[in-house]
Amino acid sequence: MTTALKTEEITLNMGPQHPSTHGVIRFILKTDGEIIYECVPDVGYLHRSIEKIGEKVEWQSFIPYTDRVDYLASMNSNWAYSLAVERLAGIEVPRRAEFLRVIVGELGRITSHLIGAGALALDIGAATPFTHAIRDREMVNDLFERICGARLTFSFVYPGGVAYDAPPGWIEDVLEFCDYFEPRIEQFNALITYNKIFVKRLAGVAVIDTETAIDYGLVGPNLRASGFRFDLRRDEPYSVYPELDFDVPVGRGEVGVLGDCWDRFKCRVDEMKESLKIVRQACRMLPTDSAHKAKVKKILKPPKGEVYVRSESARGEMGFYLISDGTQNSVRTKIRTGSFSAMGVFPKVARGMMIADLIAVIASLDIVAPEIDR
Amino acid sequence: MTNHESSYFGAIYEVIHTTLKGLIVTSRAWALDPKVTVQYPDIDIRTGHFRGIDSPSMGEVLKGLGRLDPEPAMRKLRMFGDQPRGLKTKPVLNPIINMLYGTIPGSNASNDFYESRLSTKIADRFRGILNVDIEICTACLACSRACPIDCIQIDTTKVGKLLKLERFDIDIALCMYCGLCSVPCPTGAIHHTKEFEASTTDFPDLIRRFIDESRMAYKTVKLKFPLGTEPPPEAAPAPIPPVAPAKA
Amino acid sequence: MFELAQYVVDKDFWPLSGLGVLGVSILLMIAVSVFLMHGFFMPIAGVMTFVERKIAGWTQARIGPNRVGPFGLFVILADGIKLILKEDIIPAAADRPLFKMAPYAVLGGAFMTMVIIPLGPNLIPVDLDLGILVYIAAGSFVTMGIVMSGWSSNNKWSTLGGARSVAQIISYEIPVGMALLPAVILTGSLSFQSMVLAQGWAPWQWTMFHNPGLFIATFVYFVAALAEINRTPFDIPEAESELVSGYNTEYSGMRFGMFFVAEFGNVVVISWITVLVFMGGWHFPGEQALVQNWFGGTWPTLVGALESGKAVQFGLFNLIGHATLMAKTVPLIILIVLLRWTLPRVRIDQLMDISWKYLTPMGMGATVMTAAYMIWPGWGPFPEGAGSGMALPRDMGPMRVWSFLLPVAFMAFCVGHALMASRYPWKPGRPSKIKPAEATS
Repeated sequence: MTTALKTEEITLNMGPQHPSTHGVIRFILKTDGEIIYECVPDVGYLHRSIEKIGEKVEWQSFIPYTDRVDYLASMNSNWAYSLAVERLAGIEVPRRAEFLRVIVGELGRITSHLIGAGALALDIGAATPFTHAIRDREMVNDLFERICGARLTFSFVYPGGVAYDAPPGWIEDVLEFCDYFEPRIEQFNALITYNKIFVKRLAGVAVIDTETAIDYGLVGPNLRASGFRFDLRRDEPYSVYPELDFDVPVGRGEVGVLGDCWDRFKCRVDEMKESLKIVRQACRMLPTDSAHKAKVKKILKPPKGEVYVRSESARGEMGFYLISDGTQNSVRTKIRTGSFSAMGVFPKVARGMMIADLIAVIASLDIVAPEIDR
Repeated sequence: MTNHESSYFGAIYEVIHTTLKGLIVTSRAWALDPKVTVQYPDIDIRTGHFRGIDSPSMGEVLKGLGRLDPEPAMRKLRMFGDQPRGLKTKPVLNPIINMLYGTIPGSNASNDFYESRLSTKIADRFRGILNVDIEICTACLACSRACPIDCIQIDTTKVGKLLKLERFDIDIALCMYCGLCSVPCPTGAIHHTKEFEASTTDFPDLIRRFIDESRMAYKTVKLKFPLGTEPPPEAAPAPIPPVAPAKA
Repeated sequence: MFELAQYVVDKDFWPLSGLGVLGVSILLMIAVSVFLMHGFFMPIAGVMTFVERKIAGWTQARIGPNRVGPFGLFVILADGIKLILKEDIIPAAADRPLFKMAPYAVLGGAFMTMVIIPLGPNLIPVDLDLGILVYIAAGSFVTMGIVMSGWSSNNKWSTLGGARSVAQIISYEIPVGMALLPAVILTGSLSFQSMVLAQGWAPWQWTMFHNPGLFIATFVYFVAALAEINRTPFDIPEAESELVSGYNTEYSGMRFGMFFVAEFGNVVVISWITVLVFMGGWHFPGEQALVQNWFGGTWPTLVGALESGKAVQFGLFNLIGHATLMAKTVPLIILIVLLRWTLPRVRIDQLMDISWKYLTPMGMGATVMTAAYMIWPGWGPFPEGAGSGMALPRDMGPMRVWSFLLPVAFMAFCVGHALMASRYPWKPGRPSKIKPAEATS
């Protein structure tokens, strides 16, 4: 006759300061040492009242704040907000501005995915893919610095167009970057994506099937990796995306189960390739005869109304809900981000996995803390 | 459970195979990727040139050895493991390296691009610390109003019809470097410089005060026609013919 | 050591001889330990950290340390001085005696193995008959140190790290032992020096290529030893991104430095052991000729060389042997460093899987195969069959060409296949240099 071994649960605090939580997020774990029984995320450590600030500053002045909502995909955040303001105020954007927006938006998506995928590799233990990703990201940072003056928080896409036109030689350099970067993705794949140890760490971990993903409101690469081919650029197209030709990569359960961490990783890597395609097309189709921004009044007073516009940011759907009452400030600015929804899936998914897997899950959902807390 | 569960020996072989592939990538990166680091204290990022003799460092050593390009395009440290330029012309080694790594160093477009594009100069549009040419500030307060974070404080008094600037403070710790103030400035007085080193140990140093003693604001003159579009001066009116002397 | 002490007493080196053999030998032991520790182990560990940082930098498209001293070499000193000058923080609720003792246990375990490793034909402080057992026991000593540090830190994360590490190190002791066992069977001795003496300088005289079982045992030992010293891909106890440095978390200053030095020293030690046991050790071509010419056919010893006045040749002989050993060890060290920066970390349960399901059976298979080789008539060192004793060190039997070529061919195939599979991705993409002006708008 055997007696059951008396074990205790310990409450671990994967605290706000942790190398792997991608910002300040706190997870309260109930584990028995390795297996997690309960995982409760605690958000709010990075709350900066950006939405409240939106009620204080003018419509155009809010753009630098949208940079800081998701600083890794800053161009896309600017763009999402600009789309909302343009819908609200009825501003027409010239074609050259649209194409420039597409170029910088997709380049921004590439930088964001480089960090996202690289950080996942870093959390799993391989340090070199991250540094290779950062090295390639430097090229894009230099390109962005030449066009808008900043390397991380660009404030480049404004309601009505973009802030500056491309300096001479910039488009050729963008194309050269695309040529440079394409083989580097393959090198990245050879180094880490198909590495057996990496695959064994991520395959079958935190499987989120399609219904769960839709139920919990996951967006972006997280949703696509669960098998649901939904991309706002294709299904609710905005800007000039209808004229561009690109695929939407979807998780296939290539190694492991459909919707596991590896699928999310691979989805991001594949999306980088698609973004390169889009950038090349946009560079070729860039018109030279229209302006780079529309004439917008200095004091912008959109008519009364409310609007919710969503666009495909690097982390999925970024939606801006704006209420205007005709003055130069908004009554309510609400930002809907992909990372915040992803926090909701943790208690369901983290049950029964090991702590090392939890790290993999956090990184594979590409959480950035500023997006959660705004 | 997983789609791709390998057999016992298959797993062993896959581990060996993918590890070797990873090692090839890593060793290739070690041997062939240029180790480019912008050695910041040595290079004056504003101009891309080396700083003067005040910065004793490896840069000075290499410059003294004459192995440094005077052009501020790129600086590579010629050390063991860094990009060996000689391999570009070696007819025997190149095929071996091509066989091993599938690339000839120096002839790969990606490597050349990498080396030539990573610049050591800050771009012209770089939004660094703000500077104000106070002589041409018109005290229109457009920058102060445009700032989303209220870091520009301007106080003016009216002297007759003109404006007098009492205070012009920019809190560069608060500044977001967004550029929204430099756009509406009518004279370009407030502008971004390429300066970014502002670390200091005293907080008050972070409030840049541009007015020592109050001064009159610059008064812009409104031209009748924009510069360069003045109509040519009219032809001089025909000289008044001299009055014919009245002659009887 | 005792012979040297006897020699010193005999030759009446004042004032040492007055202490007697015991005194002189104690003094010698202290001197050798101090020299080994401070003159050899610490510097090697230090240089090893420098090598690791440089190689890490180069593989990541950046330069490693390069400011402090020529080529950045003084960064070792700078690191050491920095660690010493740091504030020594001991958590208030920590278990103080254990907390303080733990780094020394780890460092001691790493350093204990240095005493029994032959670094040259005569460069071994003490040639214990039980060398391998002492080595494995020292590994367990390290376990104790790690679990002490994890527990006494009074930090749940450190405790987790310590607990994981106990499981890891103990379960990898088995493959280490299993992999060293065929070599022991083959060479008939547990002492490192005897194992080396049984081999020769040429690759077909190495233990590694004696039979396929030993070939597998080499890699089993290498991987298991990597796991023993907590080195990526098996560095779960100190997983930086998961546990904020695991059992190391609460340590600061030189206490942390001890863990640090111990890890890098261990890397060098396992590389040495791999080379010594499996790859021919310090043998170099022309050895026999030198022994013939310089020492008249008898293997030199320190006392013998001192007595016959051949100290210089003795030193040179050992130097060449040591240089050969280092020449074979350095590629292994570089391989270990590269593996760290290439591979991700395995999870704790996968680590257990690897040990128990893969490495241990392979080690056992290697042992069985080597034993079969030994007793099969005509194959092993006992041509007449089992039971005929031979004096140590013994000959490993006739060289079988295929048992050398087959593993080499297999290795070449693996490397070649990987190279072929990764050639093309680095060709640059199709050129797209289209001027925007030519574009149709």
